[in-house]
Order: sequence, then structure tokens, then C-alpha cells
Amino acid sequence: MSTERDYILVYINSRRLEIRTEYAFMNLSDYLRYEQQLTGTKIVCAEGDCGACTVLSGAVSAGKEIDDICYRAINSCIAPMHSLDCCHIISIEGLNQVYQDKLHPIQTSMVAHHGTQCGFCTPGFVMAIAGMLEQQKNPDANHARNYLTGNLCRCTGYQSIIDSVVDIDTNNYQSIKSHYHNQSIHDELLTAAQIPVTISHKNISFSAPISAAAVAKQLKPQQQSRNKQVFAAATDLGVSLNKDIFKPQNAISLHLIPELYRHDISSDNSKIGARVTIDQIQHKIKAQHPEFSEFLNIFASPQIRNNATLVGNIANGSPVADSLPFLMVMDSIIIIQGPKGVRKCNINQLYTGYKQLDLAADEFIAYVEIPHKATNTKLGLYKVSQRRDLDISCVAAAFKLQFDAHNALSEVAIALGGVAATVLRIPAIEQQLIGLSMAELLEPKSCQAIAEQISESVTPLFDVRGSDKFRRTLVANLYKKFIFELSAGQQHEA
Amino acid sequence: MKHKDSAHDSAVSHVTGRSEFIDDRVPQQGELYVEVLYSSIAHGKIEKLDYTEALKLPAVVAIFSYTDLAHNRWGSIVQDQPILAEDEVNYIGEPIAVIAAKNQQAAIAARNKIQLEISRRPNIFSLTAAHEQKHFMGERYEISTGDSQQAIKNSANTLKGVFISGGQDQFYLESQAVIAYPEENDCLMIHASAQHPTEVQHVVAKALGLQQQQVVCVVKRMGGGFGGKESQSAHYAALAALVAIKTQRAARLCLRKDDDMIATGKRHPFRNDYTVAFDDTGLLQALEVDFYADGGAYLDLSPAILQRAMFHVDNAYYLPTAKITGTICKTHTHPNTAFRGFGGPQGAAVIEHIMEEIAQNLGLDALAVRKINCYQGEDRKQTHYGQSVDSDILPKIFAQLEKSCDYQARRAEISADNNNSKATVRGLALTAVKFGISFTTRFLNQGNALVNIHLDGSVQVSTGATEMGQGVNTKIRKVVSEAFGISEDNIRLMPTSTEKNANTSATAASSGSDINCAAALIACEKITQRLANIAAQLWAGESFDGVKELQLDTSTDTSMVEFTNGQVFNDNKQSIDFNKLVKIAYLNRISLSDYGHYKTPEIYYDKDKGKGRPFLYYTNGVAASEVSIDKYTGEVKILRSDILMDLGRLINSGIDAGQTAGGFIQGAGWVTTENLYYSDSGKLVSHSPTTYKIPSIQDTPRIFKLNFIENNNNILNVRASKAVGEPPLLLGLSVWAAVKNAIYNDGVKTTSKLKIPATNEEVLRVLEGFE
Repeated sequence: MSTERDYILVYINSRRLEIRTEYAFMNLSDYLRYEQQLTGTKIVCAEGDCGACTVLSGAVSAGKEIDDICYRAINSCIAPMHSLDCCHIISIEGLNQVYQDKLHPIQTSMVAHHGTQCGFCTPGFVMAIAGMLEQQKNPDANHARNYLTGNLCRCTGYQSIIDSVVDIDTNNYQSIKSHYHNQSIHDELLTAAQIPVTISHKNISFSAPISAAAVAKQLKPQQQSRNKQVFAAATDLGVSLNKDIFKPQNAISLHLIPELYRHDISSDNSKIGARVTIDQIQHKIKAQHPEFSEFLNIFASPQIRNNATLVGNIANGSPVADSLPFLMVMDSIIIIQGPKGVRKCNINQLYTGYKQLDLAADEFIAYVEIPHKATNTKLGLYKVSQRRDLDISCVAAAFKLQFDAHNALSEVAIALGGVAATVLRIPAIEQQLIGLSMAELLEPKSCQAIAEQISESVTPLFDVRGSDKFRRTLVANLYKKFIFELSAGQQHEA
Repeated sequence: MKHKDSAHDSAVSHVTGRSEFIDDRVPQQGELYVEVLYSSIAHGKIEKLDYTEALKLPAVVAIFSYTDLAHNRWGSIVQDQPILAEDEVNYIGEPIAVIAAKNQQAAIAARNKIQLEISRRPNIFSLTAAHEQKHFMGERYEISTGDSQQAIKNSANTLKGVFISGGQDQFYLESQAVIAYPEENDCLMIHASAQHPTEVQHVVAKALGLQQQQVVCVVKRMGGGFGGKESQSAHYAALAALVAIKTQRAARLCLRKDDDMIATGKRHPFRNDYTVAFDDTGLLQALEVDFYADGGAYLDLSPAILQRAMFHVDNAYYLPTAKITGTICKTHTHPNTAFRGFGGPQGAAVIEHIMEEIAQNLGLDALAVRKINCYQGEDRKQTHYGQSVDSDILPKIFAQLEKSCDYQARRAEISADNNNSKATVRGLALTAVKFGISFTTRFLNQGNALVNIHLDGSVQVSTGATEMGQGVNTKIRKVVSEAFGISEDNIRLMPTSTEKNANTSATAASSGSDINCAAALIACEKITQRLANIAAQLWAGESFDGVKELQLDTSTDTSMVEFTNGQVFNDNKQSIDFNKLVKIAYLNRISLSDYGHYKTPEIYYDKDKGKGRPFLYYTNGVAASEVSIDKYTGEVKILRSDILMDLGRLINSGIDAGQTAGGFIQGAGWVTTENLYYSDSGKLVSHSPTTYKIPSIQDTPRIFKLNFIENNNNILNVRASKAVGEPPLLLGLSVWAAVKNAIYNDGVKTTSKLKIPATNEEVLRVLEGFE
């Protein structure tokens, strides 16, 4: 077995490809269209916000059995080729092959129901629905809505697409996975996943070490940290590359490190590795954190959730990152890997400024630990965005109230996103609430007073997602909404 | 719902990803990648433009500026816009230079190396500022009827106000895209994603100093158009054509989404200053509206759009007296342009706003106000521009939808429910549309078609209609199939090309099917007339052989000859296979091809008098929408929408349902989440789907019911059908009116300031009264 690869190993439909040099740094959508002449995949926004570029990806990683592999929809426009090492990609042309000369059931249904008009978004919809069918054999209208928030259509008004999904004839359904993925391909990708990768082209490089310690060693502290980027799934990196925000010269991938795919639930916390996707967390964390699991429904789109990671969301550190208010009120612990070992840090101490983290140049985030909720804890998670789905928040808020045995508040945490350079905690107001009873909390006058205080404690920006006044009104209103729902819940219990 | 009618003619290639769009075309040897240097300053003087250093980059082939053009002005109505900026820039995104390189990286590197210095000049971005400073362009229009001033004086109630509707990006998924191929003798073949190939041809020819015969424009399909590719595609085609003619290499220009959104025009924002008078029942006595449309930096299609807004200020309601004026404001933004509805939605929005205002002021249900004002009967059927609304369809569909959507019971239930303390408040509104069909410029209402029958009996049809998903080709195919009595499978609609169909109009104004189906039918009828003659002659016993040829006898009676099911037959049970007849026609040297030209009858308009009959007919519809608003966040959810359309006799119900649903949701997007946001320097910040939010699949009504009335009486139009493209968009106003109603239901004092779009912020602003 060789000790290092200078290529990415991917399968695209039936083709095995070793991708080297500059090609490893292209986006999948460009690679498909301009290198493989597979022009069925369309590019519209090049930032993962429209879904026209949707393809399916089956990712193989060390220790994964063939049964664990699922072909899921991803945005090919923001997937650098190097981020797809050890993946099997299916494009619309590959889907067409599954039924030979006939159409896939969703294609038949979309033709019958006028589910396509101009046709530009259509291959993306077909692939997203095909990905849904790999997991959900008999979709209804709600499945259609939930699985397709990542695909925009400007022509149909979606009704005919929903009709197409509901009326799919799955009697002779053939799974894409069973058509394309077999044990020998699986074993080949598994074997490759045990070999580290280094690819250099001119002044850019990509590497994928096979241990966390090796990653830290590659992150030489003297180099400018902005030139280097440790990434998990590259859903943010891909956008940066397309929109020329910044071009990392040395990308380091965590995809070959088996332990980072672990999500372990102990008696007091969930420990989530850097390669665990939002979609996986959403399912696995349901018992401990139903509110968060539910909240993740409006985290980006299925295509992003299938690929993006929670640790990536933390590391990107945006003040409007959807997961951060929750992680902060839960006092989540960040586990940071450095060259000499690991250290822990409360997420509330992690951020020092806009997208600035208290991380040394040779450190990266390997895990996050989310404590379980104490008994008698009320949690409220809110996000307000211009559009409900697939949008970046204008304001987000998390409220955590913990009551003691006498039903008095013993712990309070309030985190607000979108109102400052970082997600904000407001300790003064939190402290003020300690000791209050439920009745005192629900009392309208005090609710109003606290809401006003929250509003006064922030000085948000006026930008494309909302004015400063709107944001200040929102943070107050979200507190009021939380109290209203708490009160409704109390009435319900009584 | 499943539809009995045929699928879209590209449905199978669409769902398999095999449909070819511009950027899917295989590159030619030596093809060049074209990039544009856009202005990043909204208004300024170009002090320096130097690209000598950029030209030295290895893969850069050429860079051109306005001095390389033979003629540097274009414009659909008035030629006021430079193709490449000369000494002045007037909006951010205005093309200044065009770069041709072997690949994208080189083109972008070159763009970054161009030395460009622009000194800023004072600018006007907002409609408000342009209005205040009287920064206008073009003509001012007026339409009036009766003495509105007197009626206002005499009226029991009047309301005055300013109502604002915002712009909207077309957000076609395929951005502006064009490839220009040089051909021998300085000719050009242009493949474009464009709604108006003839204008592309004409603009390119003029810009390059060529004759129109030297340029052919082909449009196979567009990945959406919605008006955004009516005029402005020609601008980008000229840039690619300039590269192709100068370098003699194919030149590909496909805009990235961000650049497309920043640089190209959108739906016009409108400021509407109105005074309305009404009696105590809500019956209108007078309406005065001064429209101010934000035209952007150049005229583009603004005059026609403004006129359509003025024509549609009545929407479905009778105006006893009115004085409507229209003015175009010049601002330093992208020149605004066509977007589905073409000013109609902006005009109708004003009166739908007023209907809700009257109801709120009188404490009436807005539906009652709408119903009494709706065009009806003999005395209340004349529009403010003098055209009669010929039928009583509007009151009928109002009544039918009120019943079928269970309006009154739901109104009562909503009122009761809103009294309970809840986090949400609900609203309900039923609005209408009466959309005038025809281009308001008479000469545009013509079209032509070429129909060729091949020897196996299969047919190719070419028209000036361009296919952008709306299904015009599928409708033409159906009409041709009925004319020849053959299967739709045997008919193919060819890519639109100016060499086959010259001097065509844009596929716009909802008229694509009307004009082109009619033209195709005229061509078909010329052919079927000949075929029917031959058949009649054969049945009469005439024969032919190598020596004797059938001579077409046009005097034979063919009135009973029919073309059905691949057969041609008469009332005497004589028949012949269509295919066989085709062969016989060929052998006897009788033409199997023909050309049809159609002009829309009976239309005229005198813009100086503000009177005429600008429309052939009206497409009507009504919609009832129910929304809920989150009182804490202003978030709007559409709970249910019921739509009832009058589309005459449908040509293809699946296509028509798709147009209706799609148009409605686009309208719903315009009035809710689609917010254009500009920086202080006049740059569009919401220039991608990350920041510009069109409706997603979750934003569609939870319950969505769509129906058509039966109406076979629209005999003025081809096959008694009605145009569908734009009208349903105006029904999106039902969602906005329902939002306004919900806010009112929450007990706020006035909702008069609610703008379009009713974003979360806008809703919360009106609910909570913050400025």
C-alpha cells in the first residue's frame, strides 16, 4: 500500500477518476460541465442557494460499511473536487442510465404533471427528489416541501412539482445506490480513505492527513492563518472560492480522520466530531435536544445539511450562524486540537470579534460537547429571516431558563445572533432574572420591561437583512414570544 | 393534478438534463470567453480608461471600448443608451469595456488590471429624491374621464395618500447568455437567451455597422425570461458580437448571477400619489393618481410600462371620473425594464390598496367594496381610456369564487379567532384582475409563421415566438396538429430564427400564443386549402401519372373537407391518408410549405387624447388568499389561496395551470419577500439568492386551489382562447391585501403606510408603528 496519494479518488457515475493537479481545485459543477461535458448539471448562483447544481454524493469514510452509505443531494457548485475524495457522485446523466432508455419515476411524473417549464432548475429538482427517494420511498406533499427547500424554481410556483412528487409511481423503483455502488467499489474507496493525500499545484496545495495530530502539525504557526484553511465539508469555503472573498493557498481536509465522524452520547453530553453533518446531528440529538433538532429544519437546505458540519458552523464563527445561540446557552465545550494535544474551551469564550476565534494558528476545532439539559429547563430557539427557509438570519435568539426545586429561576442564559460582531450573551439581564418565579416571569409588565432592556442592550447594524430598529424590535419581541409560549405551555400543562 | 393535454414539448429533455441552453453549447475551436468591465460608480465622469497593461496578460486576446463600435446607442423605444459608456457612467453595472480572453481566469485577471478612473458626480438613487428634484425623462402622460375634481368636491368621503410599490428582479435562472459566431463576409450568427431575437439582430447590426441581412439571431429556448430578456438581452448580444466580428472567433458571454442582478433592469418601483372619492357604501366617485415610475438611468421600455400601469389603475373596477398622470423618474440605477405584468401590477396595486383603505375607513368588508365597484352592466362598463369591458364575467367570477372558497364563513371564523389572544393574526382578501391583452403599441401586434410539411407527413413549424418555459411552442404545436388533423408527435417547433421569421415582436405582453398560434394557423390553412382541393379533385375522379399532372383547381368546393386523425375526408365518406395526400401534392408540384402573417384586429389608441381601444380583449381572474402574521416577528405565511381564471377556451390546461400557479407565486413573491436593497453608493446589495429571496417551495399556500371557468365566447382570438402569461401575477396582490387585512385585524389604527413588498420588517413596522 502506498503511503501517500497525489490524487483524489472519485467515481462519477460509472467512471473511476483520479483527480490531480489543478483539477482537484475546481468545483464539481465546473468539472462536470467543462471537463466531463456533463452539462445537465446547471449553475445559477454558485453559492449553494438555488439547487440547480444538485447532484448525489455517496461518501465513503473509514469504518463505514456498505450499508451505511446513502446517496444524498449536495450542491455541486460549492464542492471543490478535493472535498469529494472517496465519494461516488451521481449526476443527472448518471440517473438517466439507471433506467436505461426509460425515465426514472420522478422524471415520468414531472413530465405528466407539467413539473417543468423552462427546464433550467429541473435537473436539480430531479436529483434532489431522487436523493429523497433513496431515503423516503413514499413521499407525500410535506416530504416534498421539506426535502426541496434547497431548490428554487421561478416558473412553476412549485405546485406541479409537489404534485409530481406525490404521484411518483415507485412500484418498479430501482435504487441508485444499488445500481452504482457495489462491494468492490466500496472496498476500493475504503482502502483509499486510509491513505493520506497531498496535492500541490503552483502555489496552492491540498492535504488530507489521517490523524488530528497530523493536521495540527501541518498548521505551522508562523504562517498567516488566513492563508490556511482547515475545513470539514467546505460549504463555506466553496462560496468563498466562487465569490473571490479569499483564496486559501493551503486547504487541509479532515475527511480522512475516522474519529471525527463520531457522535457519542454519554450520560451528560453529546460529543460531536468535526465531520458529523447537520443532518446526522438532527436525527441523533432528537432525544436530548428536541428543540435544537426541530430548529435545524430551517438550517440552510437539505443539500447543505447533508454535507455541512456543526463544527464547521462553529469554526466559521459568523454572528448569524444558526447553531451558535443554542450552543452558547447550553455552555457547550469546544475541544481544540493543537500540536501538543487537546484543550477545552467554553464556546462563550471562543469568539473575540467578527469571525475571530481564540485559536492559535496551529489549532483547529476537533469536537464540540453539548451538555444535556438539566431537568426543569425551558429552552426557546428562534430565527427570523426574510424567508423562512434557506435564508441567513436577520436576528436569532436562544433562551434557556432553568428552575430549581422551588420553581425559582436558578440559571438563565440568553444568546442573540445578528445584533453584534459576534453572537451576544447578555449577562446583566440574565443575572437579574435569577430567583424569579414562573409567575413573576410571566407577569406582563415585567415581561415588557425585560424585553425593553434586552432591546436596549444591543446596537445592531442596518444592512440588507434588516434595519437596526427592526433588529432591536425583534430581540425584544422574541423574548416576549418565548414568554408567551411558556405561558401557553403552562396553561396547557394546567 | 394530471392533465389530459400533452406535456410541454421539451418536458422529456428538461427532466433528463438534455435540453440545450446557451452555456451548454460545445465550445468551438478558439472560442473566446467574454467578460465585461462594469462601472462601480453610479454617476461619474470617466477620467481614464487604459487597458494596455491588461492586454499584456498571456491569455488575453482583445479589449474593446465604445470607440470600437460603429454606432453606440441603443434602446427599444428611444435610442438613448450607450452600449459601452463613453465619457460618463450613469449606473453601477453599466458596461464600460469588453474583454476577450482564452479563459475565465485570464479575463478576470485582465479586468482587474484595467486602469479605470471615474470622478464622482452628484447622484440621485431614490424615487423620492428624483420626484422631489423633478429629475424626469421622457413624456408625461395623462388619461382622464369626467370631471374628477368636481366629483371629489361633491363626494361624502375622500382619501389622499402616497402608496409605494417596490421593484422586483426577474430572477430567471439562466442569466443573460449569448454566443456570437463569426461567419464569412462579415456575417454573424448569434445564439442568445433572448425574448426578442429581431431586436437582437437589429441592435447588433446597427452597433457594428452591418446590414440586418448580415446578422441572424437564433433562440432555441431560455432558462426563464419574465420580461428581463425582452430588451436587455440585445445589449449583451452586441458586446459578444463586437468581440466576434473583431477577432473573427466565436465569443461567449454568460453573465454570472451577481453581475446579472447588479447590471440588468428590473420591475419599476412606483410612487403613486392618489386622491380617491367615494360614497358611504364605498362606491367610487373619482380617482386621481399621479404615477411616478423609477425608470433608472435610461428609458428602455419605461414609457410603455408606465402607460400600461395607467391603463390598469382601474383593475377590475369602474371609475366614473378619473385623472391619471404618469411621469418617469430618472435615477442613477440600472435602467428598469419589462417584468411580467409590465406596469399592470403596479397600476392594479394602487386600486387594490384603495379598496382595502375604503373598507377600513368605512368599517366594511373589502369584498363588498370590490363587488359594488366591479365593472358590471351597461352603465358601468367603460374604462377611463374609453374601451368597453364587453362582458359581465367579472361579477360572475367574483360571486363564484366567493362561494367556492367559502369566503363569508371563513371571514366570520377568522374574526372570531383573531379575538383570541394568540401569537398570530389572520387576514383574508379577495382581489381580481382584468388584464388588457395586446401590445399597447399597435405595430407590435403582428407575427409570422413558416410551416413546412415534409414528405413523410411530419411537420416543422417556425414562428417568431420564443420559448422561455411558458409553453408557447406546445400550444402552437397543438393548434397545428388540429389544423392538419395529425398527431402532435409528428410536429416539431423549430428554434426561433430571424432568417425564417423576420420583423417579429418580442415574445411579451402575454401575446406569444395569441399572435403566433394565429399566424401558424393562417399558414396551415393555406396549405390545407391546397390539400383539400387536391383531395376533392381526386375524389371527383381526377387522376395523375408521369404524363398527366394534377392542376390545382381552387374552384372546387372544399367546405366539407376535414382533417382528422391522420385522415382527410369529406361528408361523402370519401377519405385519404394525410401522408398519402402529402405525397401526391409533392408529385404534382404543389407546395407543402407556407407562410402566415397575422395582425391583431380592431385595436388603436390615441395617446394624446388618452382614448382608444388598446386591447383586443381582457383576461380575467379572481383570487382569495388567507394569511397569518406572526405578531412578534412580522413573518407572513400564506395559509390558503383559491384562484379562478377566465382563460377562454383552453388550448392546453396543463400549460395554463402552470402559468397561473407560477405567475401567482411570482406575484406573491413581489408583494412579500422580494426586497431590493441598495447600498448608500447605489449598488444593489441583494444581488444573489443569498440576499434576494424569491418564494421557496415552503412559501406556497398550504391549500392551493386553481380553477378555470368555461368560456367559449372569446371568438376575437385564436381558437377562442385567452392569453395567460401575465394576468395571474396580479392575483398575487390578494396575498398583500390579506396581509394588510391581517394587520388591520390586529387593531392598528391605520395600515395606509404598508408598502409593497410586505417584508417581515415592513409588517412589523406597521404593526408596531416604528419608523
